[in-house]
Amino acid sequence: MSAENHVQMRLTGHQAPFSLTPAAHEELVRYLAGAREGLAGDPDGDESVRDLEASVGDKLASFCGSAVSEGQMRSTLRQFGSVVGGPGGPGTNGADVSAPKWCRVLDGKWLAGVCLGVSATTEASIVWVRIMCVAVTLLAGALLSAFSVYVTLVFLGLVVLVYLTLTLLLPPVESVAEYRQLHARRYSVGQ
Amino acid sequence: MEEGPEFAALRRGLLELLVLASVEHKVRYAAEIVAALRGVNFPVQEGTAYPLLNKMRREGLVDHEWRESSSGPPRKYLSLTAAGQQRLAEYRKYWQKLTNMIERIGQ
Repeated sequence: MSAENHVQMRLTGHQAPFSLTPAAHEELVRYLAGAREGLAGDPDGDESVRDLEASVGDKLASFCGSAVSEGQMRSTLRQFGSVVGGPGGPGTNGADVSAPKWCRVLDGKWLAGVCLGVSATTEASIVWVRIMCVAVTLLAGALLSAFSVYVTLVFLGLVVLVYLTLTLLLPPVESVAEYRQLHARRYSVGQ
Repeated sequence: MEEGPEFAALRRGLLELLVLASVEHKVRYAAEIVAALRGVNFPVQEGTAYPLLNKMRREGLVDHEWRESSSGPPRKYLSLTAAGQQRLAEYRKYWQKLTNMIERIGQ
């Protein structure tokens, strides 16, 4: 690879810029952005990111060759590991954002877990949710058969279609316990 | 020492004690502390250690002093403060207590 393709990057504290391949540069930029995000709630977050950056520089300075390769960058950053902050760090913030309100629950499901998901969100009993779904469908089907048997068939087809659509749209969650865990923070804050 | 995840929680609790102990008798900069911990087979990563070091400095357990380096940027050398020394002594005492507990519980 010719020298023009290398990216020059300055790292905190180091006087000379480092020569990186574009892929290695991208890896490092992504790592530092992740570190900043992970330490967003930390009062010393900026300083920790600067310390890490300087330390990455120390490691990179020990490599020989014209530019730091993607492989060298990967192994360095893997050794540094993901950046973990104190309270208010990534795990706690991330859970709130990623916790879906409506979902499918896989553990204990009959078909795709749509009813279980409804039961988890509304905190209604799963038996009740299932009975209601079947009862409403059958009752509506029976009433519609007063018009014609074809209307009933179209209606049942629509019900199946709605269920399949929900299966595709709703994000799966492993179990009801996990759903509650994801939302534990929200409940304790909101109520 | 590549222990399973069942030891991860215990390890996490030990990290601060070991960091304090690593700068008890000599000043070290962050990368040296990480190297010292790995040197005694305690697995730790910079991504975990560096934020912890800054938190401990904020709590007044360690203090730092900038020193020039021959090979790179100036480095922050950490040392124990009086509070840090006291905390380390408390940790050791507590650790002793836990060890006694483990031994006594089965008897």
